[in-house]
Amino acid sequence: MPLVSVRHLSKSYGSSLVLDSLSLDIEKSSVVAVLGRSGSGKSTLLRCVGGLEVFQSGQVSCDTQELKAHQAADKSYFRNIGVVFQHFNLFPHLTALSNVTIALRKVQKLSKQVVDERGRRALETVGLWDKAHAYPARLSGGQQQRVAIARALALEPKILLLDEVTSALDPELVEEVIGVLRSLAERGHTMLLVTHDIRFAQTVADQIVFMHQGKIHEQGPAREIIRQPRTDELAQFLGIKQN
Amino acid sequence: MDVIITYLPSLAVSAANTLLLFLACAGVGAVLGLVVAIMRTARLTILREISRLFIFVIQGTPALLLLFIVHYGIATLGIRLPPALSATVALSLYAAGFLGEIWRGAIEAVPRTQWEAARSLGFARTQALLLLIAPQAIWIALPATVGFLVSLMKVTSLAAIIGVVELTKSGMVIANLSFEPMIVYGLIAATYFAMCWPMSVLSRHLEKGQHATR
Repeated sequence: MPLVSVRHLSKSYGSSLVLDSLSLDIEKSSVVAVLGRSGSGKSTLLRCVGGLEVFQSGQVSCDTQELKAHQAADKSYFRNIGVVFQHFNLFPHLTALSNVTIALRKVQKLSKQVVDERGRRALETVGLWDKAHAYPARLSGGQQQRVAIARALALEPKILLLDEVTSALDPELVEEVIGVLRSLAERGHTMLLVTHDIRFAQTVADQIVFMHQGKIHEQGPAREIIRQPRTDELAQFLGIKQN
Repeated sequence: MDVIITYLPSLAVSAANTLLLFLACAGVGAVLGLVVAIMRTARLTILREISRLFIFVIQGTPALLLLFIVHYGIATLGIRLPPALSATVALSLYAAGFLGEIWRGAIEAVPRTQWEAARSLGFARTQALLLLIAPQAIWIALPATVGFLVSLMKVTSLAAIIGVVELTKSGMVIANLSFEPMIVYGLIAATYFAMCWPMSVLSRHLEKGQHATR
């Protein structure tokens, strides 16, 4: 049984079809990178899996929770999922630690002891325990994104969804975020990440899915697919000239 | 100078009345305004429309006419309110219309992505609004809110016309008794200024404090 299963998912904005009857399985402890040009539907796919978009047909299941067409995700669906956004979306009026723990306190209403323990562990995982009491504006972009990762981790989700998490960062800050994600992958966290950065996908993911025009155009193990793309579209995307 | 000394006690009392009237209108207006702002950003269309209509009517009506409607209009229905109560009701509604709109704008000025982050963490809408969006909206709303409160302080002077003995009303009486309108009205104006100025200073101070943590 795959952890996440997407079945015949279709989504359109007005008359433009963004996802075209797409199906995808994600096994527990695997790291799946979705590659594709802008407009290929990759971010929409992630947002549908994350319960942030309502879709017109098909279904998405994550662990024991299921989302059907036209259905808005509820609290119990979000319980399984941690989302990290391109622009971090930290709460600017809360310290790093409060950002990480507020959902544990106010949504899950865990005991103070558990909250403190999980908050500390999450920030230590991303190497920012020393910045626990800093406000987001005092942190670098890379540090903010690591706090955002800690915030998602603290929920102890079944899967982490990462939406272009390195694209808003200065090049010299990308490395620290990739480092954190790689260590999470080694610890067996299941992740779905969307990116257009091939190197990022290659270093973190073990499966790669290439999307084109709302469909999965090609997929396979990360190493193979990047070295030997089978379709012209992926080859072009990778910048490989085929003869 | 004799005028000032003679009438200073009654001026002090009426200044206190103005302050009380202001505090009552600002307080009740803020509570109602918060309800209006929350309704204005609610998901239910009917709530949004009711509050939109309320804001539209209040903002399109002179404050003086609101006073007349509450004080004289409602009296024709057999309900005779004391002037101070009429003034409090009318100006609280007036404040609610303006504060509601200022705060709606502030809530909407918080990026949509903040709502989305809250949602993905499992927050319900109201909880997200109160715990995560409102604390950010307060700082956005602060300058406009204080600006409105300063103007509300001065608008309370309209209550003089329906007979509330506040600062302006007692100024009118004293000016007539003393034949010194320049001195008396000058003093009254200075008193309004003295009550408004600290609000502006406080607002600027708070804004600076906020910028330091950002």
